[in-house]
Amino acid sequence: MIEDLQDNEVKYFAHHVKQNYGYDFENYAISSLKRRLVRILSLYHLQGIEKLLEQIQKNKLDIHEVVRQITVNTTEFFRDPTAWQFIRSEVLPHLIHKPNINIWHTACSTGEEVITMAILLSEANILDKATFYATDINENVLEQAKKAEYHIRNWDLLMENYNAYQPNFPIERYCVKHSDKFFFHKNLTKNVTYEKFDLVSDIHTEQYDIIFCRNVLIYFNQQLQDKVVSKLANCTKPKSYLVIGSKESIIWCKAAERYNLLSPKEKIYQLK
Amino acid sequence: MTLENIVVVGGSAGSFPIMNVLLSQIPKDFYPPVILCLHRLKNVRHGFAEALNLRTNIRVIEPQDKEVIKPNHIYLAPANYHLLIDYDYTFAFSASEPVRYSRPSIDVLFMSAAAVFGDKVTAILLSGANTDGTDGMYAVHKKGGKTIVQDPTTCTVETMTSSAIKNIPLQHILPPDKIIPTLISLMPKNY
Repeated sequence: MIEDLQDNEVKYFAHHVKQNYGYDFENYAISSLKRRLVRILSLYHLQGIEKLLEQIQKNKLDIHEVVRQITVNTTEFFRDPTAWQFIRSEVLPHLIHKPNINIWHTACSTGEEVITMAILLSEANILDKATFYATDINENVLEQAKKAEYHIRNWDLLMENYNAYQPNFPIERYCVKHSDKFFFHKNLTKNVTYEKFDLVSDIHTEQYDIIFCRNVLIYFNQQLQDKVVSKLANCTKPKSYLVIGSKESIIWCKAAERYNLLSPKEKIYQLK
Repeated sequence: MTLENIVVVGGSAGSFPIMNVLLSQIPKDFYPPVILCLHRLKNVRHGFAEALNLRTNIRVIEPQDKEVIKPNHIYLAPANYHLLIDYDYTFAFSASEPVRYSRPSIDVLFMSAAAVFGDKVTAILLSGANTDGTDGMYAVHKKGGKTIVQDPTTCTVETMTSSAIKNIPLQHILPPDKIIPTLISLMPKNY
């Protein structure tokens, strides 16, 4: 079993995958990427990066599946409840009078964050004028997100976070439990467009009132963080919002100058 | 300033009071960065660094993602993220799956420290109720780093330290009050 890889092996993998399959991991944080690759090698019982690339080349391994394994899909409903409280009390009042609200979830994973935002808008009675663009680099998680149904094992964490958020309505207003799953009402996600999007290489010109990019930037190196934050700033309407993960930081990015930090604790920014 | 040595410390159940003892013994001018990875209850996400700071000579801080690791600093892995060390001597966070039911995981921190700092790592493993830390200690040992384990007979829960001792030829098995004096003796004279 492979216990470790050299950083040049990780770079070689990234270079090869970029040349041949169009996925660009070259400016990912090396230590994290290396961990993911070691895990993949162990998962498929492969002896090294060469073997992994060979399996992909011979179509014995699907590159999209490998990408799914590389990217981290950890997400929660109402993750960091105080961030959602801040959005409810400090951000929504600025959106409520707009004729329409344009929202981009840049790495929506299995959709929990989209549903969370939809619940906030529903509470404020402005869901109908919202349009969501929900994207991820990985198509498989988007398929799950579209269903808006979740295994019951996620229920306790949902309730823990939801209660911490101090909601205005019981969760049953938005979903039903049935056997080992819970299903969110379709009206919550009726204005959501799910699409594959690679923050590193894809281009987008739409303008948004609020962009979520939570726990994505940590996987990039500083140079790539700067490029992506700049890209997001270009897609943000003046005086509109960027939400990153509460433990993330963009202070190293030149593009950070374009924002005011509204909440240092929740990492919610407003474009100047 | 250059980074010569780095110290990583891992602990779980029963390690909090021990960690306080260690921190109170680390002198104010201790040069190598010290990075702590402590398992904690999932709902205890804040206030941990503050609690550790009560008796310490160097303030314990939670680093930011991509922050450059600096000497004479003590860092605490944030709740609910893995903390890794990257090749440019910066921290990298990861929200990937828990390792041995743990996030932050001691293995993840120790392995990344070993990969980047090689034999310049000193790893310290304390009381705990699972086997997180064993793979990490192995990685440090394999790269020629220094290994210190709390004597299992002094641990509130000895699973973690016993697992490491069983699987790896560790260099120092010590009661809590001997850990920091030994660490200091292992560092170059004028660290």
